[in-house]
Amino acid sequence: MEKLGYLLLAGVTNGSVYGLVGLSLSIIYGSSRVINFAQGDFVMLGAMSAVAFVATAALPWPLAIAGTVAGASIVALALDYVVYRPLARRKAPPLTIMMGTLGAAIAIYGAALLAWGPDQQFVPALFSLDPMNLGPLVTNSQQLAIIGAFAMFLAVTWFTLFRTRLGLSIRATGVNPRVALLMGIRSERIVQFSFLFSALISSVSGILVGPLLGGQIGMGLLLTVKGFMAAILGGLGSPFAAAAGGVAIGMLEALMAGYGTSLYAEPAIFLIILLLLFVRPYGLLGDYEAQKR
Amino acid sequence: MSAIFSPPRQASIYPALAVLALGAALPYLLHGGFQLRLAMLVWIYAILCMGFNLLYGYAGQISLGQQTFFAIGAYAFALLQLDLHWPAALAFIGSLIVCAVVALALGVPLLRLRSHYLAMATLAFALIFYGVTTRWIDFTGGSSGLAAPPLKFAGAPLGRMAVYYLVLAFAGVALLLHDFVARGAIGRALQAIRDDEIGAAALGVDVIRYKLRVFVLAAVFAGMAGVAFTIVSLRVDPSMSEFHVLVTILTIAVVGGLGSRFGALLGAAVVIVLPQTLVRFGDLETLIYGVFIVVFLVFLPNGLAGLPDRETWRGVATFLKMNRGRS
Amino acid sequence: MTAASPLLRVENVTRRFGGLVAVDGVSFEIPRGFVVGLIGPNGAGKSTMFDLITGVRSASSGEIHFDERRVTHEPTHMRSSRGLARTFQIVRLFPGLNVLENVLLGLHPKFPDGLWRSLLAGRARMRQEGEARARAMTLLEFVGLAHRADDRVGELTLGQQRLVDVARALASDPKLLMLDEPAAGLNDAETGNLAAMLSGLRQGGLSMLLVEHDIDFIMNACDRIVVMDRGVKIADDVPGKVRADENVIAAYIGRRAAHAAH
Repeated sequence: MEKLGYLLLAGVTNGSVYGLVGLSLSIIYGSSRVINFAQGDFVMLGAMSAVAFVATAALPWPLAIAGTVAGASIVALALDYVVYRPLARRKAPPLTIMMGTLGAAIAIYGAALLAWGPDQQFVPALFSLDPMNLGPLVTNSQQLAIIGAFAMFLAVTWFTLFRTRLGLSIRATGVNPRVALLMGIRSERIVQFSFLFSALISSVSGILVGPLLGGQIGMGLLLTVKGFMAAILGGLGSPFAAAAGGVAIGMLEALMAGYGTSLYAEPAIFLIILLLLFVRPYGLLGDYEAQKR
Repeated sequence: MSAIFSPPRQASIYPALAVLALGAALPYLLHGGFQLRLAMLVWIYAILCMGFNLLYGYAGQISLGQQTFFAIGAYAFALLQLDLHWPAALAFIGSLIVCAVVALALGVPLLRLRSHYLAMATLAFALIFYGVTTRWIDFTGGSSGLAAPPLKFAGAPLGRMAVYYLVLAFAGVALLLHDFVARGAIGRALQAIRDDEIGAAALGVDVIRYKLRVFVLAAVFAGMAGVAFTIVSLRVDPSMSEFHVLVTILTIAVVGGLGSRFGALLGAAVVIVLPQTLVRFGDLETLIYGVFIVVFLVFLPNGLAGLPDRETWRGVATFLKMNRGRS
Repeated sequence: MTAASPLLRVENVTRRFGGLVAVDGVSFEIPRGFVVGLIGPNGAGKSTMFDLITGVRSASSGEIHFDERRVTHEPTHMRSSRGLARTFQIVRLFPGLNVLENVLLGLHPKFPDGLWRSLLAGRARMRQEGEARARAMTLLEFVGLAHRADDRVGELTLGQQRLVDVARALASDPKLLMLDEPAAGLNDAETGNLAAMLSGLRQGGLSMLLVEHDIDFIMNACDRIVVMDRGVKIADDVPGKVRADENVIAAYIGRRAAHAAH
């Protein structure tokens, strides 16, 4: 029983990160029809920034967090101005823009390789990693912080999308970009916001999950793939279903590692999701894409 | 019959033959084993990227699994010889069949999906393959891989020149095949699918069947490249399906020019040779590749092969005009 | 024998979108060698009908027979290889190919399918390609655009792109040519050009189905006119009679008095 609790908790923790990446991908896809291949890299940058600011430069945490968010924002803006806008203005197909984000992801990975090298780094933890008892479960403050941050980001996203004018514009652009444009919604601003918002969420979750997952620059791509799987589980375009999908993937992964084969857990997860993609290409929960046919 | 205008002639086969002639003369123009090996690497990547070019440049299907078929071809070639003791020639054919079958198995369910799903699904496939080959040590040799038996002719292992001409022969087959597809009706149909699937279907193109065929063809190209690489390096290991190979393929394809006849070759020559001779990239390599991909996609979408086209320059001018005075 | 079976027979075809009935039990025929026009006010269901015949959408009920074959559930590319060619309302030329290549694609059904068959045919394919190019040039000449064969389609005006679309549709030597609002967005000169070209085709005996908003254009171009309104067929007669039909006038006056009174 204890083991199950431990596994589920670990699963929810990792799943929160996958879910946030999936949520980010959904929001960006919703506003621009583009899959941002660099999304996972923001999580990586968050984790590695913690290494850079706290471990290497010995800065206090508040400054480190501010620096990380600022850095992530700069990268997000670079993505917008260097990749998205020029291609979108040229009316390049979404697939080409997606290639552009892949190129950017490669460049970010390359830069990170220069800065931190290919080996796994120790990531300092913002909260305590000492085990603490929460009823029958054993956890630690960092884990709880991640889950708490996940819930908070979901709430913020919901509030932004459904209670603000900006959110209304985002949803309108997602449903029908042409009409949105006619109504004066500046789609470029919307897309820029979605890039920045996603960068913020992902980089902060990176700071938090870094100590648990380990800081390795290759984690970016893996997270992008898992985040995408989460997004399509819920049907692309539905951020909250994506978040739920991410948690599901995290739990599945943990259970497989605990009860099944720990060695092949990761390939097995990709296989399961690949098979899911075959059977239900429009996601388990949403028919967002299906409706378009 | 047309009275005044004669149709623009179909592109001829001669440029491809010229390239092969140059390739045949190359060993006499180069100095030393290192340069020869570099040339072989260029041909191998050219084969890889020609397959990718047909799939993405012509048909518009993004598959991020090309490097995986590269490794599958190589592993199949090595394992058929090592475990089943097949002669090399038979193992070569066998490895191509393995690639084709895997591609078929993957393609049938996947190609119904929209293209961004295809990209992620092939990436997942690549990750699965890499994960399994590094872990299944008994079968695949794990991270250290397997040593492949050297090719023998009349009992003696092939010398360097002979290996070079063998690789060139592979490249020749690939080049002629690629050219044939690109120049003809199939190439047009693939481009139509890329530009407008519904429109293509309305003209009688069986879209799903074409997508499947080009997917399998790209996998076979990759497998051929994998066999060639194994013959040259005498070993196979999971690094052949690593991200780094995919990055190189993408860079070559984008830099060379997607959807062009010789883009893959041109791109391979530039991308493989540049870091070795003119400029030392070192650790900067991945970063530079990423930057190249973005820069070429944005400014030179037709790649280096598109430079002679007047429309490339018109596009650049339009781009500059569009972005001046905008926030 | 002249009264052969009709080239196209639409039999009681219905198409529902959830609760909305876009096409409701419509039947009509296109006899061989006839030019039939399909008109109706906005929302009449013309585009849907067009899509049903070409196979882009499938019918909820009813049958469609083309050249005496039941094609109701056949996919688009199969119908097109049987001799059904169409143009598009929003021009769908392929931007990655030049003008000649776009027209060459219209010849696609004539090429043997299959990579291996093509490879083995080798020299025969080369000759075939040459013949195809010549034929494509002839078609481009017919529409007056042979001099632009090498250009990218993006460089042509809308009217010229429409003509390339028609040339491409003609390339496959179709039995039935379906044109979806070919005159939309064209100026007077271009419309006249188009009308002349269609007249030439009609004289050559090609069967056509024309969907158009431009009433004058259609009245002059067609042998028979089918009128739809709100998914239902309200008239099916020669142009002169349709023009005077009360139901037709009512349908249009109810929506667009200006056009009906022209």
